[in-house]
Amino acid sequence: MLVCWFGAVAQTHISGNITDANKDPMPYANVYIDGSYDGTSSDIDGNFAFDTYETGEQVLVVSVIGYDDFKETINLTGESITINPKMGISVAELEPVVITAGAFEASDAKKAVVLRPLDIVTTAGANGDIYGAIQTLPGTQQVGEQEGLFVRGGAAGETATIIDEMYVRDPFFSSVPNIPQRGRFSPFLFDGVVFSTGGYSAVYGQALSSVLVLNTQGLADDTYTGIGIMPIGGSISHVHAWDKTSFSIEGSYTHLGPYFKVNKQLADWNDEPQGYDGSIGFRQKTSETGLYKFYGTYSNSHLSLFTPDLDDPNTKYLFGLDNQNIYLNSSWKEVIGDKWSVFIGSSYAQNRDNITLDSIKVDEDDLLLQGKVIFSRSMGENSMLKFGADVKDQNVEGTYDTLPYNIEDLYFAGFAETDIYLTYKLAARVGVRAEHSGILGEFNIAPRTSLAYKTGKNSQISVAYGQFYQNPEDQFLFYPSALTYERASHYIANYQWMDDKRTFRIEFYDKEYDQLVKNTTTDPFIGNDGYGYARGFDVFYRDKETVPNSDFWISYSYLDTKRNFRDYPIEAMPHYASAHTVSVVYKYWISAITTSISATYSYGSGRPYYNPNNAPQDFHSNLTPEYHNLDISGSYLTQIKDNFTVVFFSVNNVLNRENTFGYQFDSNGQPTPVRPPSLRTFFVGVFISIGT
Amino acid sequence: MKNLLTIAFLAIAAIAFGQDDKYVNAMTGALDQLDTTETAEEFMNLGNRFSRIADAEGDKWLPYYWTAFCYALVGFMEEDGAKIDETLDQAQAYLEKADSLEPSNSEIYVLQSWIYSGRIMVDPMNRGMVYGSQAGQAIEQAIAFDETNPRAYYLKGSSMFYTPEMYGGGKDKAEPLLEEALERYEAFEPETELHPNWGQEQAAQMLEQCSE
Repeated sequence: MLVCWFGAVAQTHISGNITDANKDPMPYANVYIDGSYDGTSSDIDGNFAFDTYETGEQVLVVSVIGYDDFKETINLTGESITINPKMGISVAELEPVVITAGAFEASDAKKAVVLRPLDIVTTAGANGDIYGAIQTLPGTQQVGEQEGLFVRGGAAGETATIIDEMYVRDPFFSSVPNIPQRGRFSPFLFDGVVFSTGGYSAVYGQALSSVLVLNTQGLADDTYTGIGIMPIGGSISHVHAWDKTSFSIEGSYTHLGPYFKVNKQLADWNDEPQGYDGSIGFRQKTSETGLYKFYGTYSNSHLSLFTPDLDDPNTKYLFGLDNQNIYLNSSWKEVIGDKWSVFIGSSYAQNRDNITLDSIKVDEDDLLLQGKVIFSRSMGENSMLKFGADVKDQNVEGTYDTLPYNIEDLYFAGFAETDIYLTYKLAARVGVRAEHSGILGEFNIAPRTSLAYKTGKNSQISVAYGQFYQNPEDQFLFYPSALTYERASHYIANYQWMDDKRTFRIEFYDKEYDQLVKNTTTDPFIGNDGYGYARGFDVFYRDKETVPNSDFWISYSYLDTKRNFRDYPIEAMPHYASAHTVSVVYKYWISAITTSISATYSYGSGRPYYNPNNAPQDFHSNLTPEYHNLDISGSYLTQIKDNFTVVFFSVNNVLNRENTFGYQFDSNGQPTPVRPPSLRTFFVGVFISIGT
Repeated sequence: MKNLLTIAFLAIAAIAFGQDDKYVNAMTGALDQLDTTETAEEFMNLGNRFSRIADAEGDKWLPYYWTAFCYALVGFMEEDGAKIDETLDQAQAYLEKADSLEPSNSEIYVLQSWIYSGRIMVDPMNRGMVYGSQAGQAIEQAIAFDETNPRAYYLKGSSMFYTPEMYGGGKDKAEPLLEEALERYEAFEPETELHPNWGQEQAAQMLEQCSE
């Protein structure tokens, strides 16, 4: 009677074979009736079989790690069912194409990145300076006498540094003739670096060649105190982390005197570079998804040196530089609803230079106030729309000897950009940027587009076109009514192959410059009739697998560039361009002694220099000798009384090579080579991290 | 009439308890299989089995916990970096479901710590610091939620055991932690037979290695 009450229970037998998109068997797949325990795993040949007591319409699910689930509705009546599920393309293969033309990204967040921020700190020759590490990537030129990134035939001023979406006016310490200065910001501040060698997004502007986009770290998750001891000075920092807040404070003092005693300098120092700086950082989670960041820094530095009179070896001129710099950067990011996100940022920068050029004093005060807002809306699977505005108020005020000068510019820009994913394999980015510069009194509008197509699981091709405008340099802005924006048009095509161990990338580019500032023969003697081009290709190969415990990369750049601008008498290659540039970076980890060693070899073919003995039609026809440089560095990880410690050492210019960056000529036309400030140098530093 | 009512009552009771019986039987069967599971493939199949129970029930944290446990073990046995991440992602997803059903549970935090340390294997040089500190935090939370959980001390000791001396780890530092873990194992009584009770043998073996 009970049996009748419950009814006869029928089992259905389900079996089959599971394959993937390539018809290969799928082993250990989870096959089951949705909502029930009944199911099994497929065997090594993809075969499965199980019995179920469920009845009626049910959903059969096949679930495999790395694939989207397979689902099919079946009717369970007691009759055996054979079904052969076919899984779709794996999620890894479905990884959408990335719009990359012209950009190298270094971040811990994404999987497919070329560099990680730690890679930058451990690169020999970089000396812990971001710019030194970026100079080992393709597209950059080796210009030893001046700071900055010289990208694909562009001058240093054509590359902008951006921190948390905001333009940084003084990313380097103030210039000293023929002595390249470091970047002001420690690489440890950042967790994301995107180096774009051209064709960059409409979100940024005012850079003819490239942008270096840096993103500061988010909320800290550890509390610790750091101490750095180096022959050039010391630093102390403290980071405190709470649940939703983190705070950091740092101070350092630098004096190069003792370091110069050990590492002989070719320059004739009077007061060696010395100074102190401090910074504070603050992070606050404003909600589950919102983060507010603040960073502020103050630095004060002083140096002076003698430069010899080329005509009279007994005479020398004093160059002195006193600098004070304040930089504040504040930003807030928040997600609104499920589709929108907003970014609002502002920055304040003040820089004061008091320069002595022998008997002449030059004092300059620069002020920059900036605000930026960016709205993003997600438009589907991976597609996105972004738009926003940027405002900058710049004020430069100074006196040259007794002559005062003043340049003010109120600049506005608006931009819009959309990433359209037609399929996961094909994406297009279309953007436009419009700018208005108060001092030039003109508008410009620039298109930016790029297209990317995934040719295989690990490879893709990409093309980009864009126009880029930039204000003429401050030194020319004394006659703004006669001037307009300088402009470059970029055409880029690249192919990239990347898996988690190796990367190969080749990129072709053509930059057409026009409206460059050029001297004219009639009042006001300046205009925008300059023009030029830069063409070539860059190759990059990185390998973390072939040589055990090693990571190396090789960059090669070929550059063909000429311009006719400023005081050039003819169209000629600029002095900061080499036809061939090579960088080889090699890193090796010796786990037995917890040490990593790194070596960087750089090569640049000869660069043009100005020779007053030449007739105008032979302008820049002479080339300097080739540039070769080898740097080695190492980091030894250890403990001092339970505190994590890194001992860092480096030898720069191991070969002790006297590279020549150019020539200066005396009044008789006799050349003196421009040399680096020192030859082979040694450096040691100890960094201790105290705390939880 | 009385007989019919009794039978009806028994029948309904059978259905009601039978449901729970079905769950308990399935879980017990799967947990028994755990003792004889050795290879990555077997753990994958066992994880699949637990996940079917978990998804069918939907409101019980234990099957989700055991699914995550099995998939995490598979992750530790994989060699290819991308596969390790993929498998640990799967384990993480199931663990998060367990956590949403049973927040602030010591066992879940122990397993979370273990999954974080698995991530380090993919790229020790770059991931060591980030995931190492997250694993450490998760273990401290596990201890805070339940001081008596021996697995929290075992994992703490194990991670100390495998951390190089340069970074403040090593066998000497691990020894007292593992001894404490064994004491706690002796004193520990799992809430039910379905609750986690693993690790005592492994902790004892590791402690022996400390004195070598």
